[in-house]
Amino acid sequence: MAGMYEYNHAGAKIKAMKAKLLQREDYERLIQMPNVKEAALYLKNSTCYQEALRQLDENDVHRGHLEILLYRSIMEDSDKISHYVSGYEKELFYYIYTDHEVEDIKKMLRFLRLGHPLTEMDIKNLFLDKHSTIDFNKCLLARNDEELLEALKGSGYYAVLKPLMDENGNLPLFEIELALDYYSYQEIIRHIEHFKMHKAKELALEMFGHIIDYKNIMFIYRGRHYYHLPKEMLYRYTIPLFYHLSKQDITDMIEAGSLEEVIQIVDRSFYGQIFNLRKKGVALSFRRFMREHWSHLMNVHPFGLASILGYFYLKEVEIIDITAIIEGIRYSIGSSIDLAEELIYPLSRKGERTVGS
Amino acid sequence: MAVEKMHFMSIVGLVNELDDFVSSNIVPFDIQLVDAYETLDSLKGIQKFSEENKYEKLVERVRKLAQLSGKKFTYDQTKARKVASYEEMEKNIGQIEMQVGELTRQQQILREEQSYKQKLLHQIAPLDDFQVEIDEMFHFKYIKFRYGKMPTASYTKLREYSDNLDVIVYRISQDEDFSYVMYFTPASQELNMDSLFTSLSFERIRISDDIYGKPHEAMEALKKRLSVIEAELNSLEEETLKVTASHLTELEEYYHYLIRLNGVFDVRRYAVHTDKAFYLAGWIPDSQIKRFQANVKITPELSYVIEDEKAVRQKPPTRLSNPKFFQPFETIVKMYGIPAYEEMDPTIFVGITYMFLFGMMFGDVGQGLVIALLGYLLSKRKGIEPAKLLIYFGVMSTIFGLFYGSVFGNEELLRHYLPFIPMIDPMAVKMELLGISVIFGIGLLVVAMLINLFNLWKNRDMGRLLFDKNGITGLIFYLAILYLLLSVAMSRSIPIWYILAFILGPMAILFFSERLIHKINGKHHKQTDEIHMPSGIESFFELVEILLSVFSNTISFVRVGAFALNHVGFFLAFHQLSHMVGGAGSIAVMVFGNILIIVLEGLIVGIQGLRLEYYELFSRFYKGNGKEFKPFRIQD
Repeated sequence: MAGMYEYNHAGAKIKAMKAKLLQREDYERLIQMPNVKEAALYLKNSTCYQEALRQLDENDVHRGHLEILLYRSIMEDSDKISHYVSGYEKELFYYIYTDHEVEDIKKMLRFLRLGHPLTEMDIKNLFLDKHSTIDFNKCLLARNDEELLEALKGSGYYAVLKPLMDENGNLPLFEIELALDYYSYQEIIRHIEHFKMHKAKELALEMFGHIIDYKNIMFIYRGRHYYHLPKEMLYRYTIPLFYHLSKQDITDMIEAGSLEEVIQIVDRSFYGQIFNLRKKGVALSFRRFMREHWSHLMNVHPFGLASILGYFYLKEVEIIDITAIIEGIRYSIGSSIDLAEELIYPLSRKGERTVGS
Repeated sequence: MAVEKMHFMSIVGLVNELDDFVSSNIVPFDIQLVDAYETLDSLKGIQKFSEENKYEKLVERVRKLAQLSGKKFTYDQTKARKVASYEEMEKNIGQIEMQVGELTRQQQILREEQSYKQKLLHQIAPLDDFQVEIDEMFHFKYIKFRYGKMPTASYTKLREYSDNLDVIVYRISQDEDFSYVMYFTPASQELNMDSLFTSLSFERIRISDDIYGKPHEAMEALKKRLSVIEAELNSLEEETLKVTASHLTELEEYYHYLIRLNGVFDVRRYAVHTDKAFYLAGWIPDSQIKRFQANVKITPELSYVIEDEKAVRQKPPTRLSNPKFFQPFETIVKMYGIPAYEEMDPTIFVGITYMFLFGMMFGDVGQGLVIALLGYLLSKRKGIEPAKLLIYFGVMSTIFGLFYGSVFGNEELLRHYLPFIPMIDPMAVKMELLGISVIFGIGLLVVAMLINLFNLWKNRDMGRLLFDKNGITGLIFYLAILYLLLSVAMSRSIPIWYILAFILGPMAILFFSERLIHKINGKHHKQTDEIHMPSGIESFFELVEILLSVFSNTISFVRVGAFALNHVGFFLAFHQLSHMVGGAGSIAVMVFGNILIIVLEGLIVGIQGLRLEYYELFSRFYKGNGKEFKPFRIQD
């Protein structure tokens, strides 16, 4: 039980921060907005994103830029919270950073693949994390893959990317993306394994166990369905954390004779109740489930690691929702009811428990 | 006092006699050469020497030969005699090199083979237990074979699913981080598997074509060959040693002679020459002039002039000459700075005051003797010159210890056996002790200021002598304030004119001191350099600082008494501890306590003494911006 109250000061802080998340009325108003400019102005003036969106030009809202600004606000939150957490648990916060570093590296590589040196890249679209182990000043001078790899020397990514470089000095983009994702999850697992407190470890495993299971399912499903990856690639980049799915399940999915068999294995598993691979909206269903689950955990353990992890998940999901709304408005997808259906926030599902309202 | 008088000497002679002159008339004396080019006014027809130094290379060659026989010569000037002409020496050295050269070439070839074989051995060492003929695996038709190493973590991960893949992975061995792995895969799967393995950080090791058969046997063969090489190398080395050893005495003679030639040749760096004549210039100490004059044979081609140091534009170097007793204290002075030529050498002053300060702060018969013994051992056995200071400190500590009545912190022993010595107990007369140390400090400060007055008088710096804060004004001001304080303390009345004349008056002078000094000195010295004139505010704060430092510098000497008390205090603490422990433990505590006190307090007291010397005293009279006298010497 002691573990539950380890973070009670952080818990209080979280409570305050949670109150600032978007409320039902905010969502209702946002989806009614006639155009992107109005929505952006609303976010800028009436929500907790005031500070984060200061740089945003409401006349020219760009999806990539908006996402980065919003994610930076998560980063600020994690900076605040990390003061209240100590030891190995603190290191977990860096998963949030790792994620964006990985994204930035991918973006840089894709840009190089278009045949331009990185000096021409618009850095508005990069996250450029101040905590980063990457020397971005050096990276952005790179003219080809080799130079970028050289610039990454000193960060953990170098060892990941180095073996994949071919004789011509090119990095295979598809495999690089797999390897980077694999690396970032491997780091998370490594951090969790160091946790000293049993309860905290359990909670972290619950959070990332679900996420990694989901990633693995999607990786194998898509890898087989769309990319026809050879099985050694599937084995190689399956993230080695098995939560609701056993290792045998994963092996069966990779070895299964047909795609139908894969779907059946998922259906039989815990995730069969949450989403259906045959239908659309798998990600949405999964995130709705996670949101629900963690809102519940946050209420049950308001002063534990659960509230911290939960808060970050809620915030991330909120950002996904905001981006979805902005994009929805931009392409004016039908009436507002449609848009409400696309949100992770349970706006259209009356009667369900909502958080913070 | 204590800075030796210097003379400036200029020598002119024939160029071809330069080397002879140097070796017979410069080397045996203490003469500091200066760059002659800079001392001359007219440079017409005068050149620096640009000859190449041929001796230097020969010295290097002799050194290399000596190194082969494991010997290192050190220059000894008594052994430097002419043994052969330059050409002879060069020829002989060349011959020895020829003999040795053939042997070293053979060694070189063997070493190359050795390192190649060792690399091979290292490559296949992980395959030691592998009972397959390795060269045959390269000729499979349908199966591809790879050998290499990968991180053990990747290997473990790979093993989890490799059974489901078309590959056979075989771990041969592992060390700390890496596993040595072989894998076999159908030729059709080669690309897939290679990319999988590279993504797992597999590094391929290509096995050389020079390896045949089973790894173990190949290794045995390699090892055998290596041991043969080893033996051959050894015998070659021995032979080389023999060759060089047979010439060793010859080489050593050459070495000493060549070093000397080389050193003498080096004088060309300082000298200049015309077509026929050379010109040398340098400083010679007063004490050596007579001997030098007797030694030099004047010929029509050679002449020298000795001038007084004041006639020369260059600043003379400083050579300290103190009584032998005070010489160790020169280290302390040099640490602060070498005295300028015209400055007074403070070594003796430092010697006396530092010893007293140390003794007063750290007075203990037993520990003093320990420190003295330590100093003696360090300076005699290890040859550490500054360690001699420890002897002085130890002795002073012992003497003061007699009056404090303390042996290793024991306060009763001495009082019992030596009742005739008047002893004081620092703890009983605390205030008096502190008072005495302040009075002692005042005395030292006044002496320091008097020395400064003397220095200024000697340099005819009248402005500073009269108006500086460390000049006459400063001294009067300091003494007046002390008198004022004393009177207030004894509640004696002070006439107003006294305050006006001796305190406010000097203060006013000090306020304008820079201007006054400039005015007076401006007449005598032609100092046209830009002089910084302080503004009113600057002068005001300067004045406040002077006023404060009068107190702080004086009070600073309280530490002398305080450390004497501190010493007793330390021992009280350890006595208490040893009582609490009791039995054999109490002795251990006292031994440990004594060691700790010697090291810790000895260090602190030494540093505090140095601080008083440097900061409180030196800042009043000593600049230390001189250049050290460095006589010309031949070195290897």
